[in-house]
Amino acid sequence: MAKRLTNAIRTLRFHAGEMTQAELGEKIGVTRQTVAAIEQGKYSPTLETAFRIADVFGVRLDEAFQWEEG
Amino acid sequence: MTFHEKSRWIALLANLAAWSWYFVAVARLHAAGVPNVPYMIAMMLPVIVAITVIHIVAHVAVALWKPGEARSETDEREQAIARRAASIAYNVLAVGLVLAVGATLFNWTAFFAVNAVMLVFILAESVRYTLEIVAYRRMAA
Repeated sequence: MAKRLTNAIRTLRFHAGEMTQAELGEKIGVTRQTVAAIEQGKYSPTLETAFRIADVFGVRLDEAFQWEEG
Repeated sequence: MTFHEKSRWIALLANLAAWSWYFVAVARLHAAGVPNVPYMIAMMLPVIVAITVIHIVAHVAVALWKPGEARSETDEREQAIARRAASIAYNVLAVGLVLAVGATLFNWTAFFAVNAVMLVFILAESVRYTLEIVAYRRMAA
């Protein structure tokens, strides 16, 4: 079965005081719409942006993003 | 909808409206028996001015409507969308130009050849804008 990139950004935002997509976007230098697309799995971010996201929440990359069976 | 998606809608609609007017007017000229290159060039000028004015006015209006979203730089997703659309549109442009230039072998006049090349450029640009809009809509929440 094909694998796909999933993420825990929605959960991480919740634990970060319900950080909005716009706030996260501002911290990592992308638009709110791009954060929404990443969160919904419609766009796979670059490695640099993935690291930035993990860094914002203070977690490891594999805690923010997972490579799972689709 | 991001500022850049709105920008693409503006560009696509302005292009289609202005150049549709041009090609209809040129076809009428030709039908009336005046397939004249200077006439044609004189008609391109108002089209280019109109597209420029529409672009400026519409972008200023969008920026005033939502000033927080108005920005000139694009993020990585917007750049990826633009790259993919430009790559496909380039193929449309290349094939279209080969066909337009090839048509001159069949005794096309300068009037037809120039308009065919213009049409290919506009078609390629419209394909680029359309593909970008489709990608934005597919990724929309």
